[in-house]
Amino acid sequence: MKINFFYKLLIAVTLFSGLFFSCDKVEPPYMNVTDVSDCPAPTFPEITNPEKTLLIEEFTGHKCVYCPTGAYYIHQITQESYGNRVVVLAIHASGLSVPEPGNFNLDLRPLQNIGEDLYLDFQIPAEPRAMFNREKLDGNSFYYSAPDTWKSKAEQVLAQAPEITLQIINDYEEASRKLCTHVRTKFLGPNSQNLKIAVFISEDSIVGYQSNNNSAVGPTPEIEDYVFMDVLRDGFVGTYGEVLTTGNVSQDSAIIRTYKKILSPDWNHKHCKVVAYVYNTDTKRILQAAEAHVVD
Amino acid sequence: MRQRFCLLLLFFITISYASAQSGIEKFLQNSQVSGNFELDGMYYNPDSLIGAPDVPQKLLMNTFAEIKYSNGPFSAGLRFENYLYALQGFDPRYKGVGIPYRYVSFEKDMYSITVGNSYDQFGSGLIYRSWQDFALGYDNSLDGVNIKVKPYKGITLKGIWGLQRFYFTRSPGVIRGFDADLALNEMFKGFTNSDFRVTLGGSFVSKYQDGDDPVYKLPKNVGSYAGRANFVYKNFSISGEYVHKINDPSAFNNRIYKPGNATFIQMTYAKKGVGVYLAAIRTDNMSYKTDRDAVGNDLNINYIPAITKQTTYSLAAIYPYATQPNGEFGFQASTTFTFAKKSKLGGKYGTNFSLTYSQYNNIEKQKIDEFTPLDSTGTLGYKSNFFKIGKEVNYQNFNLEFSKKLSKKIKMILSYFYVMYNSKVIEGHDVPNIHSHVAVTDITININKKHSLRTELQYLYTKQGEGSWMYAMLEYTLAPGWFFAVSDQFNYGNPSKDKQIHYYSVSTAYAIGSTRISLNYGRQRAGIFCVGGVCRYVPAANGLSLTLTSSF
Repeated sequence: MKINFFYKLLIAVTLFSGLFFSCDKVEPPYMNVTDVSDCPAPTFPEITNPEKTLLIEEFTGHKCVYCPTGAYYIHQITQESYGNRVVVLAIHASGLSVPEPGNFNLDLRPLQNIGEDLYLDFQIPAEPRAMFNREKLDGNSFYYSAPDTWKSKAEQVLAQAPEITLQIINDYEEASRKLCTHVRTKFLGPNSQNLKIAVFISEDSIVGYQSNNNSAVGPTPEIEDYVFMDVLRDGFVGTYGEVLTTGNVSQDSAIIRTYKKILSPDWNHKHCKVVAYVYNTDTKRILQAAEAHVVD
Repeated sequence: MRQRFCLLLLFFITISYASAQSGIEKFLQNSQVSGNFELDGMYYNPDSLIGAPDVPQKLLMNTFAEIKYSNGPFSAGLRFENYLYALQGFDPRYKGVGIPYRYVSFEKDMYSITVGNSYDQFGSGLIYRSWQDFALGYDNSLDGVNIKVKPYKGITLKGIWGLQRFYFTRSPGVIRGFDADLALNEMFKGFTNSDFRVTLGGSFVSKYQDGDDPVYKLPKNVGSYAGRANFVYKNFSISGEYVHKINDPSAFNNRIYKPGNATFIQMTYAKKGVGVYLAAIRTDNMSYKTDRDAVGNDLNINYIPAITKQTTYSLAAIYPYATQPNGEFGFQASTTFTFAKKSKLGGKYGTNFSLTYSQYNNIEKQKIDEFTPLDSTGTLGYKSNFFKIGKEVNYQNFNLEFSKKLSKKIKMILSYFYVMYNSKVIEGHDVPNIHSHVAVTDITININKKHSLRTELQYLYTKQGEGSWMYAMLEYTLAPGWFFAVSDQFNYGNPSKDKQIHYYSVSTAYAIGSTRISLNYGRQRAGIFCVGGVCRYVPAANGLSLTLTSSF
């Protein structure tokens, strides 16, 4: 009887013991290191007259009735005489950007949960809100409501002296949709800050429905053919980018980083841009930003 | 010769027929067929005042019919489901007609084998639970093989292997699992009649999902293991379970690689007139799904229970708790007193009194290093001290309930609830926490054997959210079959004057045997409907609904 019992037990346990080996423990680093050996680095031209650049991170959503007003004021800023010194990322995040059946079925939220990461990190309470190089311009907050005040915030940041320069050169193969992006950071003075570099893809000219409550900027309550600009789509190195430097860097030093990505077939490569910025990991402040179209 | 052969053939045919006939009769005698049917339909009226949308189909319906056949050790069953189209508030992926649930089962002395769909759970469900709730629109049945073996008295071994149901398709990932349950008092003869009873158990579950990602290193096999114990001594019992899960980056946990764990401890004590229940649960990154990209309630392998007071009173249920698998610490303390008939406190008919308190907090989280923000994608996410409770309170619920039979015909229940609801954690809305106080009076008058009346008066006071509510309901039951009710929920305290709305409702039902048909006309407020911590959003609606249930 005892032999019979243990025999049965042995069969049952043997049958399922293989499960104990069914585990894939992943060791750090947890993210894949992309092979960029097929992306030869180009030669960057020197910038002779460096200027401060501004990144406006605009938190928005296609079901947010106040957001077309926010986009209107950002458009005013980019059309001013700042040239290409202003870079915009429209971050579609939170409940007001969740697609739903019907008119609002567009999904403009970035991949890799980037939008929600930033929304939570900066404790954005509602949309629209904008950050200007993540500077606490009033001493308290990273983000600002009241779009009609955004222009003065932008001017405050643009008046600062640049600490670094940032340049982007893209190399795109249309057949394979392979994009090689090279980003050069040059230090205009000695640096002792902990810095990270973050690189993203954005897309312009996406047409869809947008809620609206301001008849001065479009039909209400919905704009049928709203053109979404600067939509943050994806990141080359996740939400937070990668470490650029954690030690002292001397003046005129330059670091070139190369990234590679296969563009999603859902994006129109002719409307895509690469946006890069360098930020201080301790204060979150962005030192400099740049953007370049995937296809010239 | 030919005649003899024909006679012989006729003889054998007759014998075979008779034998077959008796076999068929025996087979039919042992056959049992049972089943049940439910239809929930609603005709929707647009109602802009309450935010009820214009439903293009006007009439929506959820229907299922379940049929089970059994014959001795053999059983088989199926469930037909029809969502054309699903009622508002149900996931639109419930669309179509089909038989998403079917199985065949065979049970012998020491084992049972089920192929097809099955429901089961290991331990308290923290590591594996497949279950279904039609009202919630939830079904994660396992479609595969489920084997149970009882090799010896007190030992139960279970093995599962299959895919999960996912609306009208199946999960991209496979579940494999094994569970052992050891009832020591049954295993060892000397302890069979002992007052001290011990049950031990252990489980292992692994999921496999294929797929490579250009950004993340993905674990294709994600394993988890659990250990549990249950001790009973006379009126006292204590049970606990601990689960550990290896790295499982997913959309739900923001693709962090931290291992997960959960601990659930329960204690009960009961003696004549007194019952005590204490429970505590801690979960840390324990969302476990067969699809790493799934969110919400989709494709859960495990089940995290909510240990809060469950109630059917509508205003007390306005702010229910939804469990937070990414991290929470909760506890409940509950006690009931039953004062006997003809005692000082019990009066002529006896009295019941209960008191319950439950609370949920977040878990304490620390950054993994000074450069990486909390919960950063592609990192370990955070560090958490098991013994430290987070400062943010997710939910609090305090309840007093007094139940008394006043006379032969009248029974009364008085309840008070205090609920603190953290919308930001539970719903993701960044609004102030809601503090609500709810008073309930529930009186039933049995006029005679045929006629009875029941009334509920409820009042909810709060300064936050949608403000205060009042509710009144009157039910009349005419035995054995008829039922009528009218009710109104009035959001009189809504801070917006145009949202101070009456949600009226009129309903009737008729039951004959095991068949019941009910009609309801009125408004339904938007809100959250939960079953045991699993919730779905119910949008506002106005219309006529029909429910038909039957079983045989």
